[in-house]
Amino acid sequence: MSGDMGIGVSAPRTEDRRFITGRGRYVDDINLRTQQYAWFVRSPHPHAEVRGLDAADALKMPGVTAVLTGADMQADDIGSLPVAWGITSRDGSPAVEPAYPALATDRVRYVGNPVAVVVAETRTQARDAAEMVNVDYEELESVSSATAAMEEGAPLIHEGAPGNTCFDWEWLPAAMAPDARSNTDKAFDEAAHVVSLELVNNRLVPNAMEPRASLADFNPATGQLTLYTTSQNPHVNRLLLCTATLKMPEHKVRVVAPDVGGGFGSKIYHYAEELTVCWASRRLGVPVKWTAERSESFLADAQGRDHVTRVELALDAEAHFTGMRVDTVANLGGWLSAFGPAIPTVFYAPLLAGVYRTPNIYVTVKGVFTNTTPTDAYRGAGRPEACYAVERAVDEAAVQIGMDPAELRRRNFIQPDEFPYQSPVGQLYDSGDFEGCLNLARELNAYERFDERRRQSQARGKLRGRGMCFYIEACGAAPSQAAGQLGARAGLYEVATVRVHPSGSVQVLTGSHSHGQSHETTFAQIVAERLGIDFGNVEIVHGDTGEIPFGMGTYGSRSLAVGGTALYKALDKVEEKGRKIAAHLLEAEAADIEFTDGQFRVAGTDRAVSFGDVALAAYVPHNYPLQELEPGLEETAFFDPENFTFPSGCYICEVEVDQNTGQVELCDFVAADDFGNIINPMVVEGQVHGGLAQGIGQALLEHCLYTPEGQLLSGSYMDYCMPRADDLPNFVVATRCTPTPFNPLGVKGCGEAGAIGAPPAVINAVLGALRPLGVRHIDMPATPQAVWQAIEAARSGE
Amino acid sequence: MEIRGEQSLAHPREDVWAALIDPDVLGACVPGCKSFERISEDNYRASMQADIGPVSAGFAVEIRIADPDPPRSYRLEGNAKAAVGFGRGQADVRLEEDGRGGTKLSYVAKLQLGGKLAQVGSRLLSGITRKIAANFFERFAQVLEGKRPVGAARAKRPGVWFQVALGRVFRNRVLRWAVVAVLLGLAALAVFLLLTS
Repeated sequence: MSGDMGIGVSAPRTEDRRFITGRGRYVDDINLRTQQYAWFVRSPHPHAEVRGLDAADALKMPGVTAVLTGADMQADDIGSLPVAWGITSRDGSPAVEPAYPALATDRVRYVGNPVAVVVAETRTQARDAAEMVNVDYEELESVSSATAAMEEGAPLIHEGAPGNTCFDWEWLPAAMAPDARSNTDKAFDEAAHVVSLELVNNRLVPNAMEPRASLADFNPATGQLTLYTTSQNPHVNRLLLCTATLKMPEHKVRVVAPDVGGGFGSKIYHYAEELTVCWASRRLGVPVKWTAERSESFLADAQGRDHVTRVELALDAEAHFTGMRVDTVANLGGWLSAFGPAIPTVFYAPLLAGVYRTPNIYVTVKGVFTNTTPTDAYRGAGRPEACYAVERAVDEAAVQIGMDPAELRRRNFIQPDEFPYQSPVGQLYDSGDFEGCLNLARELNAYERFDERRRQSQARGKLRGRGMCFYIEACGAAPSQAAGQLGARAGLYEVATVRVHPSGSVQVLTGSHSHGQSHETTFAQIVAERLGIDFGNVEIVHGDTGEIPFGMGTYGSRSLAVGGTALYKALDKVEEKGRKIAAHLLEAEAADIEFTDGQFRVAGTDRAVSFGDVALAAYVPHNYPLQELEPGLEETAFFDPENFTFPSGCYICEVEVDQNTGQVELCDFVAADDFGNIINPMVVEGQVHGGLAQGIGQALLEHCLYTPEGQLLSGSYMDYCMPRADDLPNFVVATRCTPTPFNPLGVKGCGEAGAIGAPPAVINAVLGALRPLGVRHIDMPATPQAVWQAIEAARSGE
Repeated sequence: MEIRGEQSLAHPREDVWAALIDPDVLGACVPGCKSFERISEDNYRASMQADIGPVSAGFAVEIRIADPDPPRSYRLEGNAKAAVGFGRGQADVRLEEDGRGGTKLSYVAKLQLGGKLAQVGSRLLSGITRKIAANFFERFAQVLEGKRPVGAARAKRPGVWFQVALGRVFRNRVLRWAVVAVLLGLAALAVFLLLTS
């Protein structure tokens, strides 16, 4: 009965019909009567005192309703933008968390820092008037790189953060504490080989296809505020609006995240703009709308990565990894974004064991303020940085000791019989078959015939290189209690309500949010499979706090592992109640009722009632055990997982480099992933493709660049190079499944894998091609210029 | 960003110096200049229109002459503000006699952009600056040679060739009468068509 669209089927996406026929309903598609438009006045300076603001000329412009400032906001007791995860430095002091006003009051700390907002009848009027707002800035010395900001004499960005240090953190999980450092140092002292690399993980701009937008509608008559906003987690936004910034009771605020065109992390946070339009709407009594233009997204969306890392790997004489030391400087930007301090620490260090049995690992991270846009989670969020450090070091070790990189990895793998495996950096890995995955990737790559391909490339005058990466990542952050101990200020559970209608069709209200992940398809497949009803009879509702139960939204590849499991558990409850109703209808014991293919059946007999009949009985309880059972068939389950899930996989990349131009061409890319069980293979493959494209973008093309003072140079697609279809090869994608025992679906998550595993695979391949020329290192992005310069430097013996 | 340039001028150094600090001359030579005034001995204020990449904006410019050493060298410090950001720079200008009665002018300029100008214009800055400088010196040479009026700054516009061509036509008596005859003929034809339709 689930028909052809149950678990494991590549069901076509329900949402596609709407998206590809232009019927999606995004925030900017929503227009309310009497709505006005907001335009933000933003700082052109990376660091300046705001000495005064003259709005007289702007207020005279046509259509202008108001020019509102940070002082107005303070007068209305609007709270500063909250930090959602607190980090503690190694000396026990909390990270410095400067108050971050949505509109700057006395000082701006990055180019694009909002200073005021103009509200006018049309967007153009608001924009023109914003140009007439005269802000008197007193420029201050500024700095954009984290390493420069740590130097003595660097301009001080926040008074309370000497040396611009937000935190100086070390990772001492219970498994290693308190001897992590001394044990690791000992491993290095006794090592047969030591590898040391200094790596830059380049800063990235998220670039969701739909720019951020917010429309706030305060109704003075009811005191009710509705916010339509591009959010990955509307309930979290409502919580922060109500408790931290706008300070309204939650029952008076409804947050709707309708169709959202991509997030990649950048739409998790509670941003200045959405708070400002809410406040402006409440203050002015009209709906207020703001839609970012692309240039604004470059300035105002939280950016990703930006690490400088020293990684060292110690090996014994048999090429076993014996220790790893990692010291990272993370650029946090001018203020802290909501999860800014957590991404380079608790989402980074616990993954530094990779898939290897390295027994001793010691990690330190400094979080540094700079005059740049704040950084936060971006597809992968900490794990791409960890994976890049580990997998670059492993490849370097293979070169140094003259071993095949696949063999070196194999020799150090955690073995299938060691799961659940407690890593020294505090993770309990769920499952995996790393050697199986490696073999699958090798087979798809025709690993043994690489030399032949290399000769063919040579014959064409090209240098061929092959690179490998074996990533492991952590999805569905959990459990809430452990996260709370690590500084989380929010829960990490998820919720789902299954509402069965009298006719037997089903509505699912999920706290998880889809902005490209295909919930409407995959979640419906789970319901169809479990209840034996037609896929078309299931509707997935998400994104509206007025409709759905209080959920945490979507980030960290958690939708299926956590949200899908909540749904699964709600379906358990529906099935259990259905069984009781069926037992009554069939005059049998509930324990004797089996539920298969949409039929409740007395075991071993042909007596059965369909799921639809049971649903009808629940709402028309004429023949119903009312003394023992409530009518209705609607169940909710909250699920707080006991652990993360750990997808892993082996990526092999081959490139051809033109040594005359430095151009890198991707020839071949093989991805062998272990995502646990898979609900919809086509959707998974799509997620892998997208992740790989973003990872390859980081490795070869994308670079968010500032002047040393903090002027953003890559502020448009003229200078920020996104990957396009013709930059990419045909991906060869395969999966090898080891189900996780930590959720009943056995699923792990697939949203970020590609972006995590691709960068080291690509760079290892580029270095593989360039090593014969004497090139030993290159940083991302390996643009033609960077490659050419590396070749020239190697040639001239630098 | 640092930009260097050199220009040979066929005029004595003293003349070049005098022209270089004359607001009327500068107003006539700076491309896109709408006004140029001296507000004190070494301070000037100007407004100009400039296109930097995709950004076209009106700039309020303040310029100061620092360390003047007439007629050998001076330093220019400039600040330009627009709604789309700001530009700022210093230029060291040197005038040397070339031994043939002319002057060699050389400059080293350091430029910075901020705001949207930096975000979309930085990569284009050196090209644009070179173009503006070339344009400036072309006009400056014309001024020194008396071929260009000062006091009224006007940007070259496309279509000038057309006016020039038309001017030539009307200076030639035969062509002028030929054009008048053709126009009269066309008018007569139009009247005829109108009446018979």
